[in-house]
Amino acid sequence: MEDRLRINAEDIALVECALADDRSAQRTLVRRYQGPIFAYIYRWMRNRADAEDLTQDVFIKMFRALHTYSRRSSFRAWLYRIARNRVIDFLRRKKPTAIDIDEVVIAGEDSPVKTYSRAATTETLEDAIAELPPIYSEVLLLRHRNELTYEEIVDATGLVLGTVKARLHRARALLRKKLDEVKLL
Amino acid sequence: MTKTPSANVMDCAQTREWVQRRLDGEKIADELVGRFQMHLASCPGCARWAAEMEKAVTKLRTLREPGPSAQFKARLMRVLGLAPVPLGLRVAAGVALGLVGAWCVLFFLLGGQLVSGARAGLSYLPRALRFGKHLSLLQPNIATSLPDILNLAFIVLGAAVILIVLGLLAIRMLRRKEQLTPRNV
Repeated sequence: MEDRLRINAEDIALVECALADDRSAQRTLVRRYQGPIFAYIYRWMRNRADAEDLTQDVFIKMFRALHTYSRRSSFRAWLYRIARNRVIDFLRRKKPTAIDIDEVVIAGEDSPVKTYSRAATTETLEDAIAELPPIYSEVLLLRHRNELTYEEIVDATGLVLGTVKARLHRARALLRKKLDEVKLL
Repeated sequence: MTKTPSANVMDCAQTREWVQRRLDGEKIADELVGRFQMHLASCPGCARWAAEMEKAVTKLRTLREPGPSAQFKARLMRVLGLAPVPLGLRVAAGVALGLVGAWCVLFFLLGGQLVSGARAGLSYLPRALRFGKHLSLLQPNIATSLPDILNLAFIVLGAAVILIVLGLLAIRMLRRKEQLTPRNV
């Protein structure tokens, strides 16, 4: 908890400096989040080239919209929100018919990510996560890998708290089952 | 799973719900801790399930995330206008600025003399520009005309270098500004 508050205080200080055109602060913000944002996008895309292009877009948008960031919420949640919106926008454009991305993924049909994932065989933890529907792996990784709080996940995904918790419970149970099946536990 | 009618012992569903809530960081209420632990002690299925859930979450924390390549990181910094300027370019810029500075100092010190010399040098320019006639510059009056021509060249080339340096700087700044200009996103 203290770590999270410290990180957010540092982020806000960096944002202030970045807004004052401090190059060093701008570089630090990019270096700090390029890895997590790339990983987050890559999990949706399963394609390095697309993930890199979208990560680049996210950081360009971040700097353009930095003045709109409200200091009351977590900076990283705000940044993940930009990334999520960019991914959704990209997947919608890729699909010939625009449908609500959450509905598509919940139904488990036709999602590009799901299609890529289907081909995988579970041998490692990485495979097991790739085989989870993205709506589950998303909250699972945001919570347990990137250590976002529930409030931050709510801000990042735009979901209500109850949905986040329900997805997380389901995600953990699914992951346990998959890991158990392949004797990784 | 076991179903126990006793109010003093949790059933499997309740226990697993509390395992999940504990993983969410929720503290089990004091009055429930005893019942929770009693169930885990008496139900091998739930005890195993709880241990596996914790293991799965622990594994997630050690998961290696896919990272962006070094080339992409460099590209991102370049696109955002945050890449450190290469050493060669910095040296070249230093030399160019040094030349510009020297030109300004000389012009300040010898301005009048240079301008009058250059004005005289201008009279040689039409002849020099006429193809085939420029060799006439090498006629006997070369000794007197050469300093005037050098004065003219000094002014023209110096001004050209200054304009090029300022132009390059302006282009670089405008491109960066265009990329990072705040917009509503």
